Amino acid sequence: MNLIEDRIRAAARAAADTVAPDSVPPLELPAARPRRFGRRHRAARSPGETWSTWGPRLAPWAAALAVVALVVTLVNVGPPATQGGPDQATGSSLAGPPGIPAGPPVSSYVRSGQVPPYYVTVASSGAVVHLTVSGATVATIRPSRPGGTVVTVTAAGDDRTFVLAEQVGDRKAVTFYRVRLGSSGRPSAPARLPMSVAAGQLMTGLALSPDGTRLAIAVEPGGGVQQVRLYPVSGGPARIWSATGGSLSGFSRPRSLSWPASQRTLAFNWLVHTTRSIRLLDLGTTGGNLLTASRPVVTLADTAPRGQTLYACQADMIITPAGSAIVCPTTGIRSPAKDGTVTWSAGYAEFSTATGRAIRIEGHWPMTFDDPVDLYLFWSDASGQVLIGAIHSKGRDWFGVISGNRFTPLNARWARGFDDFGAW
Amino acid sequence: MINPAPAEAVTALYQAHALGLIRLAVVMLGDRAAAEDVVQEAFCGLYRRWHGLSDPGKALSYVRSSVINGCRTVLRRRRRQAGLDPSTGDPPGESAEARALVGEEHREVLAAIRSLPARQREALVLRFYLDLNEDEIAASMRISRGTVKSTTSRALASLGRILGERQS
Repeated sequence: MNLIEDRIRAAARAAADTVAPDSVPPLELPAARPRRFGRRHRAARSPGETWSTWGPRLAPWAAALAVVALVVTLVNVGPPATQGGPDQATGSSLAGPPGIPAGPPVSSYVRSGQVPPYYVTVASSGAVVHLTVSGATVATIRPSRPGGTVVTVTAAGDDRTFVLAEQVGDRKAVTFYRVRLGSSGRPSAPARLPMSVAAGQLMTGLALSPDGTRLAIAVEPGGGVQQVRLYPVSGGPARIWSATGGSLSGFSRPRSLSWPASQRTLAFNWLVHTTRSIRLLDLGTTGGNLLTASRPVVTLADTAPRGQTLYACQADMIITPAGSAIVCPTTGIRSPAKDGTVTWSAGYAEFSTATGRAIRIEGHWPMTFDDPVDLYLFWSDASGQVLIGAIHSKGRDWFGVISGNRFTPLNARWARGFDDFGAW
Repeated sequence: MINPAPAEAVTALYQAHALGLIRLAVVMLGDRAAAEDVVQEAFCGLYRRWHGLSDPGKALSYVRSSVINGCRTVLRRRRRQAGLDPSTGDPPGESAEARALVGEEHREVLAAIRSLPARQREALVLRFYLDLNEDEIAASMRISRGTVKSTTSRALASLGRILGERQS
């Protein structure tokens, strides 16, 4: 049994089989089982004490709480829902992950123009424009169609132009809208773009070109085919590159495709089983075979033999605007010591697009088995040395600006699960 | 007083799926009592919200999501308190009998799975234990199909690294 998938199946089955079919306890619905108490605490209560006897006692309090909740909800619905509070004014008093050195205040990054002033997240209510400095909400852009959901968002290089992808249901067609932020961050009315992804096809990547004139979309149309489609935003035919035998999927759709400033190439994730590579597509070609029109620039086997120093590169990736490097988060940096001990660390590895070799690691932090860490990457500056990302550690997430080994927390959070977050 | 119609429907669903869901929670948590609690809570939640369900046909998907969320909560609480012993992966509450039944080789893999971030663990268990397809995993975890793919790939990579490291 060599395949890791087989080992998972067998181990999970073995654990599951410890629960014998005839040992399932009966269901106890709320009338017989107050929600406040778990199974192991039931014996501590009097036998006749049930939810129905607690209900009338708690009802006045519940009604009062419901009124308070309603008032709070109504207050939060009013536009613009700017958040208040001392933390949210500057973000300066936010705490970062324990054990990671704190960076300068986020306001200094924003003031000096090192990071964009606004970001747009996807939330159940639509696309939400936030101030980077505080996380405060500037505006919410509602979906254009009834029942629609903004599923992802991508940004141009001007920090002001965003394209939103909207769907009415998971397998329905994807439509696209462009918004521009004014000087105060207020968005223009969304303008419908001419392209779409047909119903039943899976969109796995989305990247607006730095100048905002072209939209690259990764699509799985079915039958194992993977496509990169390139559309002029102003309309006109798409160029399409296709391949089979792998997957274009990244962790988040805005991070599976990435443009350099030259716009002559497009970086994309290419995953074959567990071997991930990052390839550069030559946009001078007219379309056709995705693999012959591209070349691998970074190849890392996710399950490479031990001894390889840099073990895995996660699915998020960004090509730096200069096009000289690929930045990707990794939790598999292996450092063997002379005494044979091995330590693992996480960080944002930067690879040369010329040689494929690692150039440096930003945010290089130790990792232990009892603290599983996940890293996410959302934005990189031109140098690849100032990044915006997130750390999932100890069961929670921190968003922040990463520079060197320092982390400046941002007042941001996943608005909808840990799916596509948004874009700077 | 229990409303009979939802009570019957939820009880029928429980009888059909409780074993599978308890087993799912046991794989996630490694603790039978906690697994039973999570599943009981999930069905009670379904009962309380039965009239708000837009499509009763999606009740299983709803309750499976609740079980996953419940496991996530237990794990978060567990990490805040004593924590999982990373060297053995023995979760608090795992009986000696269960440990013996599972066997050393599988316990090593389970310990590695349980040391993954919750979202990676969920994707792996749903994919390789329940054999759910990407659509079903997406619905259960409330994420997109694309994220299901990449989370699974990320989890496999992490697991390969952890198991490789423990063998070295």
